[in-house]
Amino acid sequence: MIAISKRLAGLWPHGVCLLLALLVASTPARAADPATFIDQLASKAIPVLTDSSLPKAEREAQFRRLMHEGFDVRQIAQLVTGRYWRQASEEQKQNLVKLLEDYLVQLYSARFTEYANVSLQVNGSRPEAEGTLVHSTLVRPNAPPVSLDWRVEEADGRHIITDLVVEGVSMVITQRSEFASVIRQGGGQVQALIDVLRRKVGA
Amino acid sequence: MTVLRRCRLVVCMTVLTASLSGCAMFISDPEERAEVIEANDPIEGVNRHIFAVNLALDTFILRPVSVVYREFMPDPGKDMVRNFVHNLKLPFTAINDLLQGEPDRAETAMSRFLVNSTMGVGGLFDAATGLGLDYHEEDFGQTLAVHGSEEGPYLMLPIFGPSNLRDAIGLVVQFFADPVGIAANEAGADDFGLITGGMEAVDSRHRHAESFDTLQRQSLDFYAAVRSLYRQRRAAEINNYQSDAVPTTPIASAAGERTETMAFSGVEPISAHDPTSVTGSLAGTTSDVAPAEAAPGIAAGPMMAEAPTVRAPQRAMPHQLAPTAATPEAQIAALPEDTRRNVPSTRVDATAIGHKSMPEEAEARGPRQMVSHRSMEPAPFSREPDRMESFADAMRAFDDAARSFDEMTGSSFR
Repeated sequence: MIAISKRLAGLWPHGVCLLLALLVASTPARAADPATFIDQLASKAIPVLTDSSLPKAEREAQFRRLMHEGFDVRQIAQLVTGRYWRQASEEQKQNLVKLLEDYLVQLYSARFTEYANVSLQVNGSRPEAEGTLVHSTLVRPNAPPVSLDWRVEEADGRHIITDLVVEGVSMVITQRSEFASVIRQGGGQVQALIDVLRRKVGA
Repeated sequence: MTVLRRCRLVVCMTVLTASLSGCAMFISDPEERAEVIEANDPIEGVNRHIFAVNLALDTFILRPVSVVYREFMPDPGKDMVRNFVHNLKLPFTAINDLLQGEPDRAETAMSRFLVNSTMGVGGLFDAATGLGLDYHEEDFGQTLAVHGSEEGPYLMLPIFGPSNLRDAIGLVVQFFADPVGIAANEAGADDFGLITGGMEAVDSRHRHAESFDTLQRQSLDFYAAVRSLYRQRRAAEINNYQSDAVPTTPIASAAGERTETMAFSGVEPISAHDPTSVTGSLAGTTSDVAPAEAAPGIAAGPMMAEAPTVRAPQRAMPHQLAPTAATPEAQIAALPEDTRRNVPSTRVDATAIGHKSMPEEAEARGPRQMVSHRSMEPAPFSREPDRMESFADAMRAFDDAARSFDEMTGSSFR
């Protein structure tokens, strides 16, 4: 298991990353430059969510509100379930979206305080075939920095994050391959994913 | 020799099974095929069983031992363990650096080895990082990859954990070719590798306990999460991934100083590179990015103020970035040169799955976020030759390995 734990080492900051992604995605684009956009939003979002003086429930509520406001959970659900989305009934889709939201809130809100002293240093950006790749470094006390690449696209005058690459690991791919595997294990039924998610969030 | 033959027979059968059941060409639905190609896991059933055994070993042996280690080994002792184990890896890393055509990195590795073996008292202390000789790791699997070898099917190895055919062959080569291992054998210390391996396992399990346990607890399918992470991390390592090395446009200074660091809680970020910490500074490894060390509760004293691994700039080897099996080459080729060399392979994979289901929903929900997935849609049938090539390569690599094995052991299995 040496290898496993070593490979997984890169996973730790995922929480804060997706969190940032969600928040950043939820704010309308004011800056034309995607790098500035990441920079500004990170500096705005992190202090709120890592404020340990707030009770846990309060931070969770804030997080959920931000997700509701500007992030299309339905679209994430669609993205990470891929081809299985089409096979799902409307009721299943609604269940999935609801559960996914609960799952994400639960997954990431638990860790807010653990990132109290991290800082995000935006290094620059580079145009991609689609959108822009913004490079940044997550600086942590007493630990090696983590490289974060944000894939930012612009639509309807808004910047949106479409993916986050942490030390070479893409959030979208990781989550999607996991979801697809759950569905496949459950005989190709979207219901399998819904059941697993429901068990996970304890709903 | 019968044992060896039997082992090889097993490997042969594995490869055969892999190549037969992995033939994605028999899947008519392009999205399903893309999914199978992305998973790259033709013997998933077997792998899952081995994974379960590994997890049991972890739960009942490695984890308890690492908890005891965490409690009772003082932090300087832990650092010594890691220094010692890391130091012994450097000679083989240097060899691989050379084989990968990176003499500068090889020199760094060897200088570090010499400094720490002498001034660092046999590798127990790290005097080299303070001299600018940062730690890095290269293995033979990466060397094979740099020379064009495909990854082959995903394999879950007993005890060693996630791997693939290429990296497993790399492990075998390392077993025979690691100078440290050879020296230990010459000296009659037969169990040396076993002991240092065990030390590393415990130390590493302790250092990454938070991320490991969190992932295990929170993931919906731990096996699938590990598989996906392994492939992505591996691709990044082979490319010596470092986003800073990518040519970037500096941020437009719209609001004053833009490149400043934002300290979110008013705490001055500690400089990651602290040349003053000599004995305590342990470099991370390329695979050992160890964000887990940021976790509260884990030994994170001032001793851990690590110098980050300074990795070499990207190699310009576009075809290395991603397993060809999962890479629509045409798309990569369509990108501008500088983009091409740093496309995280995963991005291309990302577009291979799920794009079909997007348009219908996208119509209703507006154009945002759908753009990339629509335009990056690969031609469904362009993938087949890649896939076959991948397996042909894997077979060839296996063939070569088997041949050298023959020469080494003097057997004549074939």
